[in-house]
Amino acid sequence: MTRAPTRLGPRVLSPAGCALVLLLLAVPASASAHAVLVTSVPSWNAVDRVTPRQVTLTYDEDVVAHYAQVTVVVGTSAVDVAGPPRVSGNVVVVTLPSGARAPGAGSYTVRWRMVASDDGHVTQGAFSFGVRAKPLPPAPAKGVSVPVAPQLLAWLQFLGVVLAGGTLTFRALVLSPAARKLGEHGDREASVAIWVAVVGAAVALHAGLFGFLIGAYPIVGGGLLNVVNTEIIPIRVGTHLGQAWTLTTFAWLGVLALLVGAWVTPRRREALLAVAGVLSLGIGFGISWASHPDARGTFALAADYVHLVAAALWVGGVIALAILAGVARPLSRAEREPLVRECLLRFSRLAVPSVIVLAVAGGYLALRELPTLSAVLNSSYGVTLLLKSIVFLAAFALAAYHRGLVMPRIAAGAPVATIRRTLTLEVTLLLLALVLAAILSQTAPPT
Amino acid sequence: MILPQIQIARAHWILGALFLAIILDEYLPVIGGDGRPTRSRSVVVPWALIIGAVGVWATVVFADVVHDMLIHFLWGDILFAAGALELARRRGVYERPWLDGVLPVAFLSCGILFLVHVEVDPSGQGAHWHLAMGLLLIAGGVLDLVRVVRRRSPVVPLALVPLMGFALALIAIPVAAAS
Repeated sequence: MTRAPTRLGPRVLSPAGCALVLLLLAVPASASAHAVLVTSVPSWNAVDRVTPRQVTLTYDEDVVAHYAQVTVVVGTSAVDVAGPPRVSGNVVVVTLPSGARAPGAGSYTVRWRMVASDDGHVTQGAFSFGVRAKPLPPAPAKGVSVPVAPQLLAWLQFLGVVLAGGTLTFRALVLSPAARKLGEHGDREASVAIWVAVVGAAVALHAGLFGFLIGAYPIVGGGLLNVVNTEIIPIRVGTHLGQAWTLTTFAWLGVLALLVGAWVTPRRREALLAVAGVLSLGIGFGISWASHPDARGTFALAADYVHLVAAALWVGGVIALAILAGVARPLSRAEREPLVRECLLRFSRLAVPSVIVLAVAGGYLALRELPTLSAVLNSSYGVTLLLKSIVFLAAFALAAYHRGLVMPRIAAGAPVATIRRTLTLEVTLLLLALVLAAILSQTAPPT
Repeated sequence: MILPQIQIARAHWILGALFLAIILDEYLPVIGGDGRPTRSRSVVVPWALIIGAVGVWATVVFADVVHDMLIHFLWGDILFAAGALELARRRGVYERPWLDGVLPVAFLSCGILFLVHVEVDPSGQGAHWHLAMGLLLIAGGVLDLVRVVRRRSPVVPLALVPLMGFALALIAIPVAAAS
């Protein structure tokens, strides 16, 4: 006879306790930097009735007067501050022009760079306030950008939504019902599906972090190495980029926790994977919120989100089909053929509305973003959009070929391998379209 | 724009309490039915690690300076991966001999990141305490890794001493600094 294990020490945590700890942990943050901006007058996000005579910045420790830099920008025009910043210990003051030379109403961006007296560390940051106007997020510094990285990181975030949201939704709507119909459990494919989604969520989580930092860099400017000492809070709180990143970070962590739960709990696996898929598709809203369509109004924002979700369902579904074909390859033909055939036929029915929604929403967004037809050829945004449309049409033609010619043959009993090569081509075209979409998301639309 | 000291202290002592719970659950001996110490299969430790990872990622989001974000996201990743692997092992869905080394390697890596944290900001707030805590974590990780490699199962592992020192420091120092 065996007894249950007994513990000599205390059991400290219960699930409720864990949840409480999580809630408490979600609130605060750490700080151990130098020359951190504690307060400013006018304060960050304040709206003043008259143009202030000066801007006063107070740091948590003394700064070196010789290296103190403060620039003030209204809209896109730099304000001529009267002389260098006046530094007294930890207080820095810049005087703004007054009288007839006083800048008028508008959103003011204050960009600062300080060197701490004690250790020589450089810190920098930016914030906005308004004069008789709503303060806008801090404006990017002129001539400061990082090549390629924003596009690559945007593509990785799209890929995360596709790999986690698209493939898991495929599993919930296509693979699981097909497996149930054929009396299979689908356990063989589950671990692959979980790993694909984990890779997608983890990549998107980190691409989101670095995308935010790369997006914040042009706002504060300065040397790339100094960016590690950038005070980031105003950019996180004051811009849609930062707000969307905050929300999507916690949502991706939730997706990862659900995927871990699905991995270790086979009994609830399908339900947890379905929730993770829906949550991943929901994260796409954060990506839309931080991009151009948000400035065009609520309807354009909704269209962009719907466009992204439809793309994730189509691309994710095609990738999931390709993975299924690979995972099922070791099986005997008698086991493999019915499952892949059933999934192909079910996905074909789901893909049609997705592609229609994708095309309609994409067409609407193109009309909103392009002021004239000539802008298609006269702007980098228009040319990229044209290339994306060509790739989309090629993928669409291939999908139409699959639905019109290949599917009837497979439904009639032709081997599912008939579709393998063209399906791989469709995946390639759709991934290329995602690359172009990422470039488009980081290119300013023509005005 | 800087967060109040009390909030920072609260975040750190709660994380310290969570860590204390993890190491007590992991290293205090469980006596099996045969009267011998046996390895805990409680899922409290892995879920606490995952919750800790989410908490550390929360610090990434709410950090005020970029280098704090970069160090904390690496801590968060290590804790999340360790929690997921431990959870899978304890639930019996993924069992490999090398999984015994997950926690010691996680402690060791987190300790090394403490030293990197100090290197990036050498005269930052509490840098010497960060250094001491990093060394405690490294000592705990190395001692536990040696135990795993030599396949020893003492009733109370030696690694518990530096790891408890780390947890108590994480609780006591921020509270003392804030009060």
